[in-house]
Amino acid sequence: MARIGVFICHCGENISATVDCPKVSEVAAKFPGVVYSIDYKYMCSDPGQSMVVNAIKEHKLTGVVVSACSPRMHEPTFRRACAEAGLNPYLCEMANIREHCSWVHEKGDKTDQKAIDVVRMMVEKVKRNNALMSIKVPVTKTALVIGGGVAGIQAALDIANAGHKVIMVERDPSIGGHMSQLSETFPTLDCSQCILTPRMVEVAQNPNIKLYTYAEVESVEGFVGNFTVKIRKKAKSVDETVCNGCGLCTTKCPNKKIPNEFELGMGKRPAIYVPFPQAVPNIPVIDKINCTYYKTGKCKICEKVCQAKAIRFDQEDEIIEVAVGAIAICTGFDVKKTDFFPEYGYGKYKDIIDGLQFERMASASGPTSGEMRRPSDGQTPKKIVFVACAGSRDPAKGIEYCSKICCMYTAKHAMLYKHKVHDGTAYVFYMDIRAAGKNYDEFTRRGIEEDGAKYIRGRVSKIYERDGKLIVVGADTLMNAETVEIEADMVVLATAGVANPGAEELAQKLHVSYDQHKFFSEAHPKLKPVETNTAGIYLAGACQAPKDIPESVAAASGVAGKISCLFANNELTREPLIAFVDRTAPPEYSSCTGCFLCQPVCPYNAIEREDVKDRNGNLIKQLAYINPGLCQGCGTCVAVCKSKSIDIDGYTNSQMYYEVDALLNS
Amino acid sequence: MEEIKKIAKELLAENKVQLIVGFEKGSANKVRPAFFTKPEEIDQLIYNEYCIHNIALYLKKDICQKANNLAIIANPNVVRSILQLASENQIAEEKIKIIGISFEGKCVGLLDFKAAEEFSKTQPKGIKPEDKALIEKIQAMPLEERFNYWVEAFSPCIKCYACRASCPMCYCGKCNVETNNPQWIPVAPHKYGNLEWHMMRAMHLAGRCINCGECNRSCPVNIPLNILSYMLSDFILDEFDSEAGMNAVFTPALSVYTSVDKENFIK
Repeated sequence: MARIGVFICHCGENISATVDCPKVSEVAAKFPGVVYSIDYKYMCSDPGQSMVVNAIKEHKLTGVVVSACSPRMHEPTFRRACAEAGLNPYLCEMANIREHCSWVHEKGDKTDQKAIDVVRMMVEKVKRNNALMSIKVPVTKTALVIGGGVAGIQAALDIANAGHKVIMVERDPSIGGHMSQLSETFPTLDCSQCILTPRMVEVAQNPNIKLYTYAEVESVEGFVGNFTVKIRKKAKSVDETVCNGCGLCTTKCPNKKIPNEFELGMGKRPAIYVPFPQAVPNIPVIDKINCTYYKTGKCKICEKVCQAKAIRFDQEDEIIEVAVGAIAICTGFDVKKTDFFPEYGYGKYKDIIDGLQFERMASASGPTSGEMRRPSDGQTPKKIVFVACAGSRDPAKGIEYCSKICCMYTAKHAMLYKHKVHDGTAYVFYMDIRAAGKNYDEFTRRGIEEDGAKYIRGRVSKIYERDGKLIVVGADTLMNAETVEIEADMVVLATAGVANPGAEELAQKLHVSYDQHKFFSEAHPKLKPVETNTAGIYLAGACQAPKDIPESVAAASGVAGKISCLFANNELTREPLIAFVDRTAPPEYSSCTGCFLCQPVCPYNAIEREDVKDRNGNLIKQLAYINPGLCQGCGTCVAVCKSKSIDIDGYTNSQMYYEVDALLNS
Repeated sequence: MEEIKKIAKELLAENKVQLIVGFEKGSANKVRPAFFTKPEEIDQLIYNEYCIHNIALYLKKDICQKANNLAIIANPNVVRSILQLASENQIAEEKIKIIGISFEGKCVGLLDFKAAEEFSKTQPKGIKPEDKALIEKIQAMPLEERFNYWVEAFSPCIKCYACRASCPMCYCGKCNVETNNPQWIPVAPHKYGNLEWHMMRAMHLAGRCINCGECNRSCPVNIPLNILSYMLSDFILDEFDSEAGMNAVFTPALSVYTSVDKENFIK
């Protein structure tokens, strides 16, 4: 016989100002099976919790309904209180009369009635709750960091310095990411490489970090604490253990006319190359698509000149399997290229470049050695126009968000330009100057006031070429929207920051969610900003949304903190609210028909095929089996199962049915 | 006809299969499904224009489940059912031999799954011309009217479950409607209980129905159930580029997400 206790919370005035709590308590006391009902000002307070504990003991309660806030808020609190009183914590349920009732309705009889109905539903549910035991799973104390940009580097170093092993996977031949391409950084104008490269070297030298460059994540299986990851090490055609990084091969390669990706096509590189001189590791790779040997079967000059005998033309992609307990996604971002903009010439004008290309031009190690020389003829541009929000905040372009970093880097670009070309003029077309951040507004003001960048508030409608000049046509909205025409020598588009190509594919491999722009989604925009919805997988940096360096680094350290917390335990305790397939006596063994339509819908790869065999080992039937370590209790399999063979602890079919029934029969 | 018998006889005589599922003469001009285990019984086997039943139904019954291997006289509907069942892990290729027969009644010999897939694709698809008019009529209705149409169409249902019993895809050992704790689908044949039953069944067949029309043929009160599932198939072909019974590979339209899914229905 059920003996249910109902505890109605006023939540100060949050609930009681709208809902008549004493009345709800009075009505609830008369529900079948309810033996105790009370209301109190703050049920989550110490005296409130004591009321629950004492009532369980005094009235020998078999189930508890706390009618208060969302279970996300205080379910753990009250389940702990129940456990303290000797009641299985899973025999406690929350009836949400705050978010679902008092906060969304006005005071009145109907609102009271809704509160009563919500309590009635949970009373009917809790009568059918089963005592459950929490699940313990072991933890592999190794972290996988995907992406070796500044966020990945920071996360890897922090985790490694906390004493845990880290495996870093980087798609390119070197770590460093976009930050290694930048010239100076806002708001201090310190050299990007000078602050980044020591950290890159630290990664390579840290004994806790195993670095795989030119490698990609092939597949991910498992669950928090116990992931199995396959990594594809792409063939570098160079033996890393032998190569000493002398670089002779790169100087002797006859094929030196390949557009350099690191210089965004503004420089050239050989077929065997290191992306940039400070690369980590300083080991070249052969670009198989452009290498003369791979194309024609003849050449092998690099092999001849290599004194360490490190060239391996027959090297193949290698797939390695690693076990990790947590994963940090730090895969960064990309920028829209100039060919995205029909109004700015579809990328056909050589002197219209994007922000990243300007960074390379301004960089001392870049294709122009830091001199301002425009791509078409190498002349120093005397008039330069920067266009902020190129693509960003433009629903017509499908990018309605603000790329966030452009206001600051455009100000920086204008300053760098003025520092290098003293007699030049820099114009900046902008929509708003968004310079929120420590010393950020001061920085943009400095660009305008000290370095004399001419800011024009308006958008650029069109850019075309006339007599070797780029005619920039825009509006000045602070001057009655008058049309402004500038004859520029060069134009820099602060193109929108977008998700990395391959982000969607990676998200699907990792089973993490992503938004319509293919940026990875955090579990909660405020309270879980670095977690994903998949336990044990975290996010840092611009793979989540456009972010600047300080933000990416802060998020990366946040991820490292989260992962270190996870690794502080030898075992993880998991909620036992998981799905299971029913089992019955032979010859059926289960109502499961083994159609496995549930298998592909499981976001956690938790459903396996289980063979039922007779004593001689002959297969009788194949059934679905749900791995309790992997299942997160989302219930999708329950919904697709045609024969209702799957049920989920804590939310069983019968619990749901009687909840609905209680509502309909009120 | 003679060719079918020859193949069947050989299979049994050479012990290649233990059982052959086909047809024999019934009372009057009727035919009925039959199970042959000995070569000499094959003389009873017939195949004519009346052999339209989808005998793939029996593959999930005890008599076939107990046989180590079997052969089946398979018109394109049966072939498609077998492929769909195979894709749902219900029948193994090594266990079954398919004696393929086209809709015109021409025997195409023994088919392995690969040949069966080819055969299935070349045979006419879809619904009989006489049913097309009704589909067009229903499609022309606004949504509310369409809903009311089906509520009315289901109202004569007496819950005899003949549709379920005749459907090769309704192979669940314990049907949802027989789950009584809790009883989500009401058993009594009232208007909305009928609607719930048929909606559930239609949803369970979505992306799986091979459009043999057996549900309609078996229905004692002539509910056009085949049209409901045909419209669903059509929708799924359109939205997910997926067609049941066309291959034995596991690609359940409603359980699998691919990045090329059009998803027009949620936009």
